Amino acid sequence: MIGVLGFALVAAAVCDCRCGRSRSEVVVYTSVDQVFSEPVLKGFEHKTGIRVRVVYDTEETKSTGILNRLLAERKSPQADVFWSGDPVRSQVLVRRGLVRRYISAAARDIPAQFRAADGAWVGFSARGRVLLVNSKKVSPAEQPRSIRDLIDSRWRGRTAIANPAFGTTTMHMAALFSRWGSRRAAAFMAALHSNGVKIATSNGEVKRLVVSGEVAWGLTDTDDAAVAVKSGAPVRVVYPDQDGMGTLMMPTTAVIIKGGPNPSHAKRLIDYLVSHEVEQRLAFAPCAQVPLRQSVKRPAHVPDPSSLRKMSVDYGRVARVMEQLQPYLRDWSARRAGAKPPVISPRAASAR
Amino acid sequence: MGSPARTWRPGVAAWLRLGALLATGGVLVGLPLALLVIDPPAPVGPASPVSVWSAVTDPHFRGLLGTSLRLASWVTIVTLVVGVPYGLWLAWTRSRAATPLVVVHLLPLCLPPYVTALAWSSILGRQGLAARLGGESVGVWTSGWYYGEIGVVLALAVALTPIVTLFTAGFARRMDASRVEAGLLHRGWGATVLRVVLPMAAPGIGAGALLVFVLVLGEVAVPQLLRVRVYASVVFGRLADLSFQPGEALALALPMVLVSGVVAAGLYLVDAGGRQSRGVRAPASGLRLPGGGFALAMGVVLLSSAAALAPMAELVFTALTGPGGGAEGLRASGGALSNSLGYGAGTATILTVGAAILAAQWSERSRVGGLVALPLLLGLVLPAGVYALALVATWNRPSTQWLYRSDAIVILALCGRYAYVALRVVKLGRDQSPDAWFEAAHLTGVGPLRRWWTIDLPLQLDILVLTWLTTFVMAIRDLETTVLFYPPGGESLPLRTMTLEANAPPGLTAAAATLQIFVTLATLVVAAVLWHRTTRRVHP
Repeated sequence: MIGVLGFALVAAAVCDCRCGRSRSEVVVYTSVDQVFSEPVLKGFEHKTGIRVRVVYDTEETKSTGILNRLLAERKSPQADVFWSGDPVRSQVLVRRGLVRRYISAAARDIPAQFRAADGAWVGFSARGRVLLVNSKKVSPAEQPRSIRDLIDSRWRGRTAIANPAFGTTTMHMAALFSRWGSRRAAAFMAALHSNGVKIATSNGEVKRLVVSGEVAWGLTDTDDAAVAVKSGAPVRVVYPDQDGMGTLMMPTTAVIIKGGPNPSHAKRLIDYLVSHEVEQRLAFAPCAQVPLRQSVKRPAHVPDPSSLRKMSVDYGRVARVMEQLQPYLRDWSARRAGAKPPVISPRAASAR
Repeated sequence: MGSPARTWRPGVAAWLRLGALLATGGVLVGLPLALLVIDPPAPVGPASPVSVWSAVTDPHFRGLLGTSLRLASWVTIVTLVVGVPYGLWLAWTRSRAATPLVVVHLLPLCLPPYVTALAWSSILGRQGLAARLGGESVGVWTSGWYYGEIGVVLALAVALTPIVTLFTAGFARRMDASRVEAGLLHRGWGATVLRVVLPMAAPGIGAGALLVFVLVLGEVAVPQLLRVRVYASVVFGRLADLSFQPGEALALALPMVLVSGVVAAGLYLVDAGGRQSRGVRAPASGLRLPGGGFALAMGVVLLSSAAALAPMAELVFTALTGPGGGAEGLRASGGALSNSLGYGAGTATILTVGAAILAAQWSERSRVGGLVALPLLLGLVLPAGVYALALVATWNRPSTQWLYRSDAIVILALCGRYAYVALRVVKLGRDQSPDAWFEAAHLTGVGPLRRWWTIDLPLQLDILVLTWLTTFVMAIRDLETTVLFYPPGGESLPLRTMTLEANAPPGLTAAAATLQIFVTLATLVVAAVLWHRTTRRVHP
């Protein structure tokens, strides 16, 4: 059997490699939901004739499963481009020196705070962290307005967040630690437990819990919320903390992987992803993402970013905090008594 | 009466083939596991005794291990309650309806358990069929208990009961009919089943139960979908969260690896016992269930068929009529379907050819054969995440990128996972063939290679096709083995179904699952026809 296996595998691999080489292609790893990213990447294929080979992430391990795969493959990178659903996973790769710098001419009109001056990463088409409220369970008058309402006793046992060990909730918690410092943020985290906040497996699961009325409201991403609204579910979307620290906005980001097999096609893909065309496409898609450029057309239900009060965030710092915070978040998710966060000093106004 | 035990002694060539079998197990399973321990694929070091100890003694992990063991126990109990009567009925029935009923019964086993759980959620979820028919309050009630441990038990029991059924039926067919008939002369059917039939079938039933137990322990996707935290998901989490701790994942997986090792040893012992008893007694396939027993068994059979079919039908309905579904939805998953078919065909072909060459000696060299196949058995029962991690440790190296970058890595992984299944099916077919045919060939003095080419192969053509179909179905249902390293653009149908779960319209996700159901069903129908033909040819 070993001979048969060996012969067949060598034949399959050689055939696969040759077929691969004969085509013009680019390899993308993405943590953006497949249902939203797939049409964009098909659009690139259609426009350029370059074949796109993709690895998508699963809902439960959103962002991090793919990131770990990139880290595990760093000695022999398989990917050309990482298209992340948030800005901080890209920062982790930048910090570990796994990124090839490229300043895309197409990204010149993207606001400076959403791209690296040295071309290490570039952001576009943002999502926000919003409160999804079941309108049958919560009247407009009593609806929550801040993420701090998660620890308000009137909502005890009636709210949900996704497991902060994964996905954008990790970033959100890291942003709070970065902003508030570890003492205040850890107190907030402890209060989430004592107030009976349900821990869902993912933001999509938070959406399902709210839509089905199992909780009154939950903290999730704008794309999950937009899908719920579009499905006709009895829900409202609240951008939290508009009279306070602002809503956390997360541009999707793209980076070129150093040592990837198709660097020139990777640049073309980056040019395409940051284009007006893609921002507009994602604004009109069911994910209803917020274009970072004001000049890009958007449907009425997608807010103008300039009209929103945005949480002031230094994505690089949040990425560092996020890596420090991971063991604590794991312990917190496991409700382990005495879980201690790393010491992080608050930084608010000075952050970009 | 059965034919006498085989008397010839294979020569050097046969021993070489056994050596090749051992080497296959070594390369596919033994080497990756060894490299995982010695050189894990991580910036952190390998699992230390301290990390293993802390993993085993941590109260949180112990709690999760308790949940996993509880779920595994419940699923095993339910599969025994349904699978044993079904298996006895299957072993002794001569009904023409048996073949289609068995195809329906086997369908959930041949699908990723995730798809079965998804199908049940389309009935019992908040917006499922139950809610549409009975109103919102019914949906609230059904989803309340489905999204939890009860749902996990239901979905996994439906998916895994056929394992107990097949093991029970296999042993019930081979049991000594004269002892059953003697029991019937002195006691009623109930007492005979309890005191004669079940004890004789106990090794088979036990083996099935062990396999179910260990498969539930390693399951990640279904508990995740149904919001239950289990031990295996922590292991997976160590690979998926930002801290990326493969060493710790391995430490946490060790209790599961130990359980898998015990199960593999148990299955080996059962198999060795089965080999010793083969062919010396009158088979019991001519027995008939009495009225009461028949009614009970038919009740179980029909209930089981409804549990398999109803959720699948609802899922197909959603795929055809739901948002994102229809022809467009089915077309959108065409690429993943083609990937799955490629992986399945490649894996099935390699395993069938390999098993055709090696399984004969494996079958004849009972204890030695069982021992050399142990690594492959371990490959089948190991938690998929651990095996996947071991493959990453082995093949993600600069010198092996030619393999790791290609579809071949998926085929390699699936071969390691399902080689034992191929050996078992070929052996099963060989056991169906009268020994006299092989002995006659041997006595004429024909060499082993020619005997294999002129006697074994033609006799086993049907069974080889059956082996191909079985391993094909196993390969296209696999989800967790390849999720960590499938090549870019190479997502399989089960993977697509899982990644689409994030925000895709229900019809689109259901369409991907429906394609899986149709391909599996078609394969099962062909396999059932072949099996029917083979058994009728040998035992007309």
